[in-house]
Amino acid sequence: MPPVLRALPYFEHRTTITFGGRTVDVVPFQIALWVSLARLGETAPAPNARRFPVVLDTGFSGTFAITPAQMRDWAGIEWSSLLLEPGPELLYQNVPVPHRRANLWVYPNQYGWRDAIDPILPPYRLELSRGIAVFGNGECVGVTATRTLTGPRVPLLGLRALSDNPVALQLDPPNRHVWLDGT
Amino acid sequence: MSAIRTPDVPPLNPPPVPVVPSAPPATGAEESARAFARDLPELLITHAGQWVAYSNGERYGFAARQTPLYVALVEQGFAEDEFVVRFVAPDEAGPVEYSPR
Repeated sequence: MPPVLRALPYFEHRTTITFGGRTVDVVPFQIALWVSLARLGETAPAPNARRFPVVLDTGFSGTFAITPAQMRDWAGIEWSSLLLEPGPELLYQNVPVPHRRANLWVYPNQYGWRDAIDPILPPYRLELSRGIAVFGNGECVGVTATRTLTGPRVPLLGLRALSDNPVALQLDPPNRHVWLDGT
Repeated sequence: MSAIRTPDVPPLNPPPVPVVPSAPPATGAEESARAFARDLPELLITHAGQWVAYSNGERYGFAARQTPLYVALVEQGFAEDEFVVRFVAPDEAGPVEYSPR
């Protein structure tokens, strides 16, 4: 299995990540990694794809959650440019949130570093059967009631996304490391 | 004494039947999502862990990953709103556990 995340560290203290002229906080014990959004069918990231940090949240039972503003400002994509992914409704805070058709590229880290991307290893394509959920910022995203939803402070990657893909995720709590291998 | 029955005569000016605008026709992708949901119980037995594509409600094929199916459909001229490509796994509607952080 080719490596994707190698000894990706997480920390016992608050850290920050600076990218694209902004700084975001990562609270203790949050696992942050770097991704970009992908349209279906991509075999490599688009030349203009923007990398941004997300939190791997195994307690989040969706695929990927991002706010409209994060999509615009962090990923450089308007949510409305992505096709609706039809299917059973998933409810966030009791509101049905339309899902958009997209995949993710996960960027390999340099061994033992969180925010340094490995220049040799290729990014890994996470294929998302249900697409991504976009909500928050008081914006109406296809359904009026999505205006009421509080979006994630940092985009969230859930276990459902990993489960659609042939990957192996390992946590090494004593060393505060995460490993991800793909096929 | 027998009850007096009134004949069932329709009123002279029946209220107009409300016109309900019809829903827009389902896209091929929506038909395909419904077909996938219909077939899922069987697919979980025969093709769990694989990807399956449906176009315009018809099953197109299986693959180990999503992208080859997507590329094949596009190369055959299908528009993106005509198909879905889904991972064969339990796919339930309902609440997502989510806490903004």
